[in-house]
Amino acid sequence: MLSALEEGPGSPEEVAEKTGMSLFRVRSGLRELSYAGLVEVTGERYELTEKGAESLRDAQ
Amino acid sequence: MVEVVETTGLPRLGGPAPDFVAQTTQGTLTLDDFRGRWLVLFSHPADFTPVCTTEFIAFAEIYDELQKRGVDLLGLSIDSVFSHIAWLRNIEEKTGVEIPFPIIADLNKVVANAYGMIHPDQSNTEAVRCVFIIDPNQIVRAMLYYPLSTGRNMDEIVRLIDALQTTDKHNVATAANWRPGDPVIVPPPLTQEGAQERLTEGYDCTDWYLCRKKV
Repeated sequence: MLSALEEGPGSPEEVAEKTGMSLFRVRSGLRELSYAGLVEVTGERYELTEKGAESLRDAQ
Repeated sequence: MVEVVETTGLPRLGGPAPDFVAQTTQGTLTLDDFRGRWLVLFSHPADFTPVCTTEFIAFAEIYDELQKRGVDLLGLSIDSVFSHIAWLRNIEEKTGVEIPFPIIADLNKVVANAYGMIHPDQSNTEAVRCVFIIDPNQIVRAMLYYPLSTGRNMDEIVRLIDALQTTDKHNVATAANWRPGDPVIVPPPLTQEGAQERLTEGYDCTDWYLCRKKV
């Protein structure tokens, strides 16, 4: 999910389409990532925080 | 003397599905996570029991058909998530069937009580076999309640979804034993004038109140 947001903010539907994951799992996952400070949400669009971008770099 | 009678509250057909936040085998899920898609929420009495195991295999077998129809599956029992995980691994080991959908671990019975899943004359500690068909607007469209002894029929669950989706798409009703491809029922006229006109509108009518058409 973090990779799906690497190029810019996205909605849960867009992330689901990019990742092939079920929409409900994406919504749940983005919520958990938000709690962990790795993404932030504005309306229905999620984007990586600095911490999220750093985690993604570390993982790649 | 005041007599206290305990009753089981049930969701209402056409009413909003009760909201929940639940621990599942695929993380914490809320009802809102399923918004925009159809959802089959079902309960089973207990993990590692025989009828429930046959039902889980049967639900897994219709999973792809449900996905084609835009329908997600979500199970529930009053068991821990550890029990769920162990049982799913056991089913896969013993039968080769992978269970792809999440299962709510409702140890505190919050979701079970909200959905009227506990019927004390069957069991105080286990849910009965319920199925709730919830539409993309999170409205309860159909409910099935089966006893602990009797496994559910997957053909009927799929047929029910086909019927509801056909109703929504074409604003029609479906007759007894309807299957996809069968004629559907035209909503009956609500006025005398409408009743008079109905028989001239080109439908296949038994009488003014019972007319069918193909969709």
